[in-house]
Amino acid sequence: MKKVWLYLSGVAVALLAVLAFSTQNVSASGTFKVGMEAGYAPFNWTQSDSSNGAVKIQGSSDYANGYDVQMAKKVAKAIGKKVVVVKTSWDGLQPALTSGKIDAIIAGMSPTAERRKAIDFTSTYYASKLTVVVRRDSKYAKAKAINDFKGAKITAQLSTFHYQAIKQMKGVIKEEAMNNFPAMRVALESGTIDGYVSEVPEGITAQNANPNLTYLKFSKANGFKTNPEDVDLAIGLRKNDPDKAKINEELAKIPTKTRDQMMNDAVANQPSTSEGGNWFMQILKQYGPMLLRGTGMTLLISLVGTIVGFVIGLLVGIVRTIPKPKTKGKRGLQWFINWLLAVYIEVFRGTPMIVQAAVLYYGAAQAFGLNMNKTMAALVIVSINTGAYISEIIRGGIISVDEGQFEAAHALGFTHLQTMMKVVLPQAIRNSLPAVTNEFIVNIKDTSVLSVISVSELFFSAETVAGQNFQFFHTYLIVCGIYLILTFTISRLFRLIEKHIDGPKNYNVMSNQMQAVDASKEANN
Amino acid sequence: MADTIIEVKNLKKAFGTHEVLTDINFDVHKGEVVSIIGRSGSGKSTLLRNINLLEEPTGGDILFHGKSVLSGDFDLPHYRAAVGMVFQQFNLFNNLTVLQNVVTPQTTVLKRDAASAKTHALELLKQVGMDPFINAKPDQLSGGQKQRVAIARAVAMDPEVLLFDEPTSALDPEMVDDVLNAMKALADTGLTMIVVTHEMQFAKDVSDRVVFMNEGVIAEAGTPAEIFDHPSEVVTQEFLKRYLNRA
Ligand SMILES: Nc1ncnc2c1ncn2[C@@H]1O[C@H](COP(=O)(O)OP(=O)(O)OP(=O)(O)O)[C@@H](O)[C@H]1O
Ligand SMILES: [Mg+2]
Repeated sequence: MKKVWLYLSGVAVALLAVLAFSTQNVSASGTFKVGMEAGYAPFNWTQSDSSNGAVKIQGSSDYANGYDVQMAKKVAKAIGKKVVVVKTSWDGLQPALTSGKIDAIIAGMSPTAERRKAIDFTSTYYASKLTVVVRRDSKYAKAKAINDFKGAKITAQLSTFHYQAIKQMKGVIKEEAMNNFPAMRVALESGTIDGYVSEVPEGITAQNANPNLTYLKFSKANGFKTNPEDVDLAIGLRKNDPDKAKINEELAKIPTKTRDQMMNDAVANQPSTSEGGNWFMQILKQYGPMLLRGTGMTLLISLVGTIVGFVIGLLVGIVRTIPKPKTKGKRGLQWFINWLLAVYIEVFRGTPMIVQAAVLYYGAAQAFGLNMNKTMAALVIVSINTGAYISEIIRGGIISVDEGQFEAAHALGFTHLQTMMKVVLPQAIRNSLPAVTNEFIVNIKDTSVLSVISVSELFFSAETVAGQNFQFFHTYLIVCGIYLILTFTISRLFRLIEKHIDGPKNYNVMSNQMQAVDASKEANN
Repeated sequence: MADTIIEVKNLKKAFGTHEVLTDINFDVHKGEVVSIIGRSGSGKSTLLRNINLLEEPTGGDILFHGKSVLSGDFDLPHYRAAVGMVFQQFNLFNNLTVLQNVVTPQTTVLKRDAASAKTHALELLKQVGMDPFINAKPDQLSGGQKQRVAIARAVAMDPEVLLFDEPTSALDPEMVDDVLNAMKALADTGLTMIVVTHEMQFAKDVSDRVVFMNEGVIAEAGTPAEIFDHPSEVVTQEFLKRYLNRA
């Protein structure tokens, strides 16, 4: 029993050490860490080489480019720093900034009053105009005014002023807001919606990429009334950032003409689908490495998460099945520890992993200044989360072992730990393996929520690819295939492991002692 | 009497308010074979399980070489290794082969080195006729084969006393003799044994002493001749009559 505690505290110390080593300085001076989705062309996108002045994405071998990236370079130069791009999902941008993971948001973000409560903004770095993107063959393609959309199903990106602007369009059916542009383009092309509100650069991009789509130009009188606070894009900074004045000074030096030129360059440089060849080879050729890296990350996180989670689950399972001690003090301690473990299991089983990831990664940074490496944070979260599930699986496995096995071991003089190690756990683990395989497979798929803390696993990579080549169906079909290959391989592999543990179906009857002794050597290895 | 190994003194066991053992007193001496017989539910298994502390007595005491096994500083694993047990349901370790079942307890509890544990195991498995099956897993064996392995496993610990709880009750009739023969052979080596059994012939032939239990107490105890031929208590007579009719 003492040994169990030794093991447990060992694991705890190791975990803490990992956390400590993976922390880094909040803001290494000399670098200007800029957060963006790197999937919102022409403002920002991901590409695989450094052409056209692209900037390397932190923790990845990919590059980011676009209007935002070029603007970031100018600004960084003015404050004497070097740009580092941190690829972050839209929802993760603000927490990343306030928690110090990044120094600025340059991601086509508007300085709304709501956002100003939490963060600061520079003056405008791009002034945009609202438009509506529609199918070229639809009757709305001829609309001249925002009131020409009677009966049209319209949507826009979640938590943007685009979505608020739908109110101005008389007689439209306002659909649920959607998460991102790729999703809206798919919805539009499939007819689920008739149009989405967006900004002109995005409209140009959508039209260039997909000839079935077009964006509409409205005269000032017939167009959207917009708040300059909204259409104006600004750089998000932490409150009281000392560099703000310098940045504004630099922005003032860039005239509208230069800005329009930068936008034209961006639209021209943004990745487009190369022509010819079949779609499959084409996607693989252009984005294969990106998808492969995403696959590697998904596999790494789910594999490590499942293994560490298994170890956690095993320890928790053992502790929770320790028989009641005799003395009162020990019983109280056991009650308390079991209570803690129950809380751990309920909390991690009872909350979404996406929330846990955000709390650990952004929350810990904001509250304690603990700046974890994002991959490490992902590994920790998936491990702890899986541990909560597997400890219940193992507990079930232990309970399902026949009482007679415990009794025989105890009657032979085994201690509780020896009984567990030599007799009960091997059987409990064997019984739990199918459920553990299940957890592994669930992990492969569920790691997709980790894009919220900027981990470029397979699904995040797929979103980036689809956001750039606009071949949603084909891209996701390929990714679907990759997921299937992963999960199928794993379930087969675990079957083999199960068979190996079960040993041969038949045994050889030993005819003489010599043979028996030989075989016994094997048996005991 | 000299060489008393186990003394059971005023032993009581209750499950909640249900008193199963009311007041048990008896001694076991070195080299003795004691059979415990009695009606189903009379508390025979409970008595054995209290002796090796699989259950905690609620009253009285158990002495091992004159020392109370219930005192706090008693070395429980050591005591249990010295008091072996063979179960009605065999309880072989399902994850281990036959050989490992006999080797692992020796290396784990007695810290024997693997080689001598193996030699010892093979010797005992040969004695019970199970040496051809050392690589089998328990679920690949018949009940009688399992029980013989379980006996080898218990004997491998070199116990001072071996407890048997109806070792043949879960077996098909044709396998009962194999197991009883193995037990007889053990008794002949001078091993101290306490055997709960419904095999009256075995009790008669092999034991030195027979204990008849009834409703949580020892109703009568004596030599096999005393108990089987001239039982003095009415309950014993009735029990034996019913048994002989059935047989
Ligand atoms: N864990 C327990 N909780 C409550 N009652 C129990 C428990 N174990 C045994 N008993 C009760 O104790 C009594 C004696 O049971 P025990 O198993 O000792 O009888 P037995 O003489 O071995 O019977 P059998 O010949 O059928 O094996 C029975 O009434 C039984 O229901
Ligand atoms: Mg019984």
